[in-house]
Amino acid sequence: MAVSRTFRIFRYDPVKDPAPYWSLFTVNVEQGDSVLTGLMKIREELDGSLAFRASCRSGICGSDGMVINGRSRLACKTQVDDMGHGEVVIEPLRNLPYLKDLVVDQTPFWDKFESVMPWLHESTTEPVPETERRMTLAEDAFDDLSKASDCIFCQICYAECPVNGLDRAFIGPQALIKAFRFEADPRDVGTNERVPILDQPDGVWRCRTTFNCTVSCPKGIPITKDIQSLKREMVGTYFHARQEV
Amino acid sequence: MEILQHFDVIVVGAGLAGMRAALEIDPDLRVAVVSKVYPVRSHSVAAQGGINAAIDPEDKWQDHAFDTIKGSDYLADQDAAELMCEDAPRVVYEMEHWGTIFSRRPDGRIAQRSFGGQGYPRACYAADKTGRALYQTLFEQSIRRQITVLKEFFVVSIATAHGQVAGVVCIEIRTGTVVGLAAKSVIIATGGAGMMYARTTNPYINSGDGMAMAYRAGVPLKDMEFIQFHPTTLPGMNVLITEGARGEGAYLYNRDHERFMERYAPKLMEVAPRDIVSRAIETEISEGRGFDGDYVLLDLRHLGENIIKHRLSEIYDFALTYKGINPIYEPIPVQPGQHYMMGGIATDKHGATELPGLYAAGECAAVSVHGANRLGANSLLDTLVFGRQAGIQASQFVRKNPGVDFPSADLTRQQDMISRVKAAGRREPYGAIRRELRETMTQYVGTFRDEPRLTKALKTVRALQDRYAEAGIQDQGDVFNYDLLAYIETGFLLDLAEIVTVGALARKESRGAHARIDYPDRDDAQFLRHFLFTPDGRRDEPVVITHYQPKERKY
Repeated sequence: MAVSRTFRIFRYDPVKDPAPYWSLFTVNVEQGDSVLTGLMKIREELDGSLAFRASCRSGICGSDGMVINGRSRLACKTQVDDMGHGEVVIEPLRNLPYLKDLVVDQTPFWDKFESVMPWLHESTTEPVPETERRMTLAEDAFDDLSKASDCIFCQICYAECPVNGLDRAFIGPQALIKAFRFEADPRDVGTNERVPILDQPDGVWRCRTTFNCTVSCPKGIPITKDIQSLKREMVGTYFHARQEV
Repeated sequence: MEILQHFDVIVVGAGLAGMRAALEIDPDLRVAVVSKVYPVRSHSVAAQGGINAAIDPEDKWQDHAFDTIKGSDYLADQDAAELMCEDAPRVVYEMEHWGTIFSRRPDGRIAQRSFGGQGYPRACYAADKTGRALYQTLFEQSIRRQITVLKEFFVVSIATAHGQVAGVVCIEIRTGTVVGLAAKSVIIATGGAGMMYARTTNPYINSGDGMAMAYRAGVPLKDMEFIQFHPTTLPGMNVLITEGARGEGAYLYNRDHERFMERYAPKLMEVAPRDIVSRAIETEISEGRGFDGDYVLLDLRHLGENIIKHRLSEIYDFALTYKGINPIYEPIPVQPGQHYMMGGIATDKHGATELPGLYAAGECAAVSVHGANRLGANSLLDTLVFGRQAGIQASQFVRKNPGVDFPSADLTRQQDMISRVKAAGRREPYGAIRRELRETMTQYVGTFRDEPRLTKALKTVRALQDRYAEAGIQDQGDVFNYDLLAYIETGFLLDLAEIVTVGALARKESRGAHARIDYPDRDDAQFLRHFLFTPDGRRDEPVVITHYQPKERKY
């Protein structure tokens, strides 16, 4: 059964608008409809100029992170029914500059992601891939690695992190979870190259364990815990180096 | 308007096929990947179940090739299928070495599971997120190699001059600027066109851009009438529920609690190929043995919590999020939904099209390795094998050809079109046209087809095309004008929907995913051939047969 719901949406067009403002739209939504479905209806039926990014509709492509009723969420994974009975209030993700309506400039996020050299650093003694390479890892360790690799680059952790809001230089939770994904991979030998990037005041150490990232991650990645593992690794590397001298 | 002259090769689309192609371009050539979304948003990341490769010592690539050809209902070009299956182990090892986190057997070898229509459990997988695992690896490699990616550039047409490719015309989404990208070679890797259907697993962005652009440039599209309907999608949004669930042993039940696949594929049961399982489910529903809301049940409960949470973690989450159903304790409602297009831009087995300098790979191309029905876990393989082939060929082409001047009139034409649709406003909204198109295709060009339904569909699609010519958009701005994008995408979809329907009408037989109620049998004498469509009409080509003579297809 369709019910009528009001969406209050953050609007800004850099060409026309001196400042952001709110638009109100009333649309009919069915039970189980996502916030994204509502937004698409608004764009198709009421206001073609409403800008937001979206693609897969099912929480796997990471396009439609936005602030919905005060918290960062994926619009396609958030059902209108779960947003109470009042207005559905939608704003762009925080900690990234807004460009138009709900579209943000993602550049700082991607730059930080790339800074951790996010690719598998192979051992130079590894043969050319003509045969199968085995990988054995305890089940728990494999699960941790596999979970860390679930990141869909939705930027929600980045937007929810209070440290990111205060310190633009902080590398942020997503870059760190990517670093963890490689550090936890037994095939990777890039630690020596990554440590100088991670072992910085604005690297792993700026994480204040507020757990906002972990709580908001739509893929349920234990980001805070994995960042603390990286900190332990940094300490371990430090003492290990001292012992060798 | 501006023309950028910096490139030898332009790859359109940043999914698996496009990224793999870009990585294969000679490093001293100037290559750019152009995508209307950021790279990781491409639909390759949504692939769940696996990638087929005969890597087990007991398995043979020739068996994989046979299964693929039989699965295709003998419409695949057998030389191409053989090339793909022989190359498959190399592809898997390469991706593993680049970092893909495959699920493992206890001895550390890559785990493999059963998949539809395969005679051996040969789908290598990363839980039920294989597409994401593979894609992240290629994305990471593209960063390592510093591949240029033009993000949020929407390619709208292929530019040609003197009978060869000259580059592409695109719109920079952030500014609305019409930009020409001059290049000696162009690789199209834009994926499918599932948005022409209402019930689809595809994302908003799968609007068949590359197929439609190639067609408009006079390049033939092949076998477009073959549309794959995935048997198991969540009713409503049609989110994909991986075939891997059945590969792990899940059952399908109708409302009488019968494992109805017994009647349709007594040997393979739930892991029969997708066309057969989809038709079985549709038949159960239409004969009154489905549930209210047109679905049957997929039961995972006997697999146990461990397998569900470890190997099927994504669909566990989907069922919980979108249906409030915990598959450990309750069966999942499923119905068929449009999933994949076997047809596409006609290429040879190295990705070359008829237009010199233009290549295509992935779902937007028809090599053809999938013929009339693609087997599950063969599409990821297709993207990586033929993406690489296209990259090799484009590099060679660039070395031998000096290139042609970019036709700057193409930019003016695009700019004029934008002005026209803005001026038209929303008297005739394209949104309504697209909705009607999607409903029409789902209702009349679905799993089961016949002449009256297809004729009705064709009439409707052509009427929609007429309305589209008068349609316009509301957003008058330049910055992030998604109204304009959706308008242009709707035009692509209308072109392609017409070709799909025309092909389906002309193919008076049932083969693979194309099931005609009025012509229930396969007719090799008349139709063991590819249909190629250009704006000038249709021509046919023979199917390449190497070792496998067409036989009746039974499972």
